[in-house]
Amino acid sequence: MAIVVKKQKLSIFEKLYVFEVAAGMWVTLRHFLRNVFNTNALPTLNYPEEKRALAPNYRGLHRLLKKETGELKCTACKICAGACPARCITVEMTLDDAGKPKKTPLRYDIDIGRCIFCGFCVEACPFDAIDMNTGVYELADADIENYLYTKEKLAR
Amino acid sequence: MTNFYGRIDWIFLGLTTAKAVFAWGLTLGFILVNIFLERKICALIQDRVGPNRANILGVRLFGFVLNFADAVKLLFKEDITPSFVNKTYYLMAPPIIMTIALMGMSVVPFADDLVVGSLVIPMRVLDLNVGFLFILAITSLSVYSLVIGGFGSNSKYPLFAAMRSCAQMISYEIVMGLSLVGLVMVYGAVHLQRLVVAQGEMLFGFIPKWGVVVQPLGCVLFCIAALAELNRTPFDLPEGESEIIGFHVEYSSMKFALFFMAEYANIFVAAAIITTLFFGGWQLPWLSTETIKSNAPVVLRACAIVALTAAAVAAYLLHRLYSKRRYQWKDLREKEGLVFYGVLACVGVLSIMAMLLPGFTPLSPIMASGLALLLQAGIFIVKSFIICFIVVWIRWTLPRLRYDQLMALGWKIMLPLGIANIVVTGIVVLLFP
Repeated sequence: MAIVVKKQKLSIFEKLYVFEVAAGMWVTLRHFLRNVFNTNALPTLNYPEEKRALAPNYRGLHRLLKKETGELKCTACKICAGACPARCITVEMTLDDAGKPKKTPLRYDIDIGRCIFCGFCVEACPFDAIDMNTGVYELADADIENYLYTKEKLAR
Repeated sequence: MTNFYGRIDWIFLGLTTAKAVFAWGLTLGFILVNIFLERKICALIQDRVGPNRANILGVRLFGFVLNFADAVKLLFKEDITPSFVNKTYYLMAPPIIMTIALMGMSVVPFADDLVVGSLVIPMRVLDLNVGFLFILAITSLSVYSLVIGGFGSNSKYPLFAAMRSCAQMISYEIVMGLSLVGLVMVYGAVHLQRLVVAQGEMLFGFIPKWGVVVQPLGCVLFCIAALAELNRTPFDLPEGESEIIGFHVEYSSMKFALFFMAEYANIFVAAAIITTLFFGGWQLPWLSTETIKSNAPVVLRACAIVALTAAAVAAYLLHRLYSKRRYQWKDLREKEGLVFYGVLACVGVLSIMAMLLPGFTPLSPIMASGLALLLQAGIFIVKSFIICFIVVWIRWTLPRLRYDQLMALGWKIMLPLGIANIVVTGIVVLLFP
């Protein structure tokens, strides 16, 4: 489909171009002067030193919650592992001597390298045993083994 | 090199070497300054912070130190020479443009002649009678580098860019030459020193007879043509950093850096030439060399007062910058302010000492000449710096011209204006000699 481009009628001042250039130069100079004398008021955050305030529902690193007795709330039901679209949660149940399952995890590993921080595990958990509001998001690491967060690391 | 008696004139040789080192040092130093200006002004115009991380023992100089990090990076990068290039031409291009950039300053006078006893030392490296014709000739050579580089790369986009830049530079060279004819008519000189001396006179007794006052159109035309010669925005078609590909795509590491170092050196050279031709060169307005020399103590104290005020203002601004910060660096950068405050304190102490010099006794002639030299070289550098600033400022304001607009501006607008300027100047010079 052809589009008709309308040519704008320029006034004599605009055609001279000089005044428009001067106006543009004034805009940039204004920004420059404002910022050079007020560098601290710039909206830029100097990231590692300055950090943004996080939203209350920000999804960061997971946390395994504890009961008042100090045990984990987690019952190793594996609903979170089932809900995880990235398949990054590995749960193993504790068995007692008779081979009967005890309702506490032997292993609870999250592979942060695979985690997509969707929060489905938190929504799926029927016991409110896991949440993501630690506000920790600086999770990059040079060693891939450090991406495996075990039960001890998560239950802080 | 040889004097009247055919012997080697060691004084001349030594002085010329010293002046050449100064001129080159100035050009090379301004490469760093221009890159720093480019980064910081660009950032501040766009409401960003700009470089503020690279530091040497915590001293960052507002991002100036990033230049050194940059130099190290470029030097240690792998130097790739593509297999398909024409090696001779390919390797020739960067040194050519850098050499030409460093030659520009050789005829520009950066202060009045220094008189020591019977010895008159001209404060320019080469004392050429052809003056700015030499500069026009030298700067027009730089198009060879672009064409050789584009052609030697043996690849189509650099070749296109080389053709573009060739056409651009040749068309704007004509305007550049034409815009200076009026200046020659008014001052009757092409020798740069004589031009600057002539600009020290007064028009109607109180306006400095600078080139920009007597030749405003010539000044504008020359500045636009100089921007085009520099390949700076709005005329950066040869480079076309973001979309139309420049002549240096096949270059890497230090060879690539040489092109850009030459560009930034050229900015300074062009700024120095514009200063010399149109903004009075080393002339302080209303203060001729004789005035400075005969009133040396007063001038010295005035300088001291200016320096003290500037140091106080700078200290206040720095204090505001550091005290209003929203965060802590938690390392050596925290102590950076001490360096600045130390330097400012030294300036303050020196200027107070200069003010407290005993009495208003005239300084010795050599000291007075030295004071005049320092002041004039200083004002020359300050003027050049301001023009460098404007060049960078223009770059971050104006968009690039299309190719047909570029040619239309050069041939249909600036060329007739240049000729009209010559005619009008000729009539005015004839009527009011």
